[in-house]
Amino acid sequence: MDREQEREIEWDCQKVLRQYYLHVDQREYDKAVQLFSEDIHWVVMGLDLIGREAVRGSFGGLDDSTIRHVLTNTVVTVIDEDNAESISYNTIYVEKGFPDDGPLAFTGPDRLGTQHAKLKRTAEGWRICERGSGPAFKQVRE
Amino acid sequence: MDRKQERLIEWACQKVMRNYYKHVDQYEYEEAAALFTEDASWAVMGVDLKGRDQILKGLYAGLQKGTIRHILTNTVVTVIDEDHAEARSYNNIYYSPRGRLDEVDGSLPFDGPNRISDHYASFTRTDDGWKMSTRVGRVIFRSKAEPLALETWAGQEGLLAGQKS
Repeated sequence: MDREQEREIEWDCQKVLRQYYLHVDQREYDKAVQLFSEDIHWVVMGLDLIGREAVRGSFGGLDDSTIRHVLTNTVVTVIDEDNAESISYNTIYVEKGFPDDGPLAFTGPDRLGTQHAKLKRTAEGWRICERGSGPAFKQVRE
Repeated sequence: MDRKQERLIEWACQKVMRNYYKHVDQYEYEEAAALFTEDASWAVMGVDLKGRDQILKGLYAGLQKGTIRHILTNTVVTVIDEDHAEARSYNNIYYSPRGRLDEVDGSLPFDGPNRISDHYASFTRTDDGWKMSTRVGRVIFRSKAEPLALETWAGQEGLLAGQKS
């Protein structure tokens, strides 16, 4: 594989990761899980789930809050033509309520963690097949 | 259009947005405004601006006395066709009205981000390259409620969204 092919994979995988959080933050959960492979292995916030349906079932817990996942520092490493992995920082802002009548007050991020993902090429395009994260910093709320 | 062409457009549009905020944050408002189409629309924080000239006035009125940094993240560009695209991003905005960085000695104090916004943009390919034709920002989280210079100016000019209807 040449460097141009690698760059194309790096670009497409970054797009999948970003698209995933745009969907999650807009509560478009059915669209979000479509960015996982059928056999996704998802290890986040103490949950260890396998498969799209299991992950979809875990979504929707934040029904009284607004969340934004700010994804930065992504480095995608291409394994081969059909497999890649990535590491990013995820800075998460979450507050009770909804910004329908104006912005929500906030004091800063709720937590900041490292996010790992594995991606594979499928007939539908690149999909996340493994996802794990752990917070490095967490705000202490009174 | 094949995926290779789409990637080129995705990158070109991302570059326009990054250049825009680089210029805005460095007080280079003419260069920033030139990245919009002549008839661009700009709707941010309840302030509604139409056309490059009005956007330029808004940038001067809203930003030239303070210091601001727009940290643009999570950008996803969706290509519509060879000449049109749109983008969604998050804008993490750090702001201080206490002075211009180029006029103070050292750094400015801060308490973290001033606001987190959802950012939408649409793009048109012109003879001068890709330009923003629409820019919409919706503030999701905001740390301080006092009006910003842009909001005060827009209120005086009758350019707040509620004032027009």
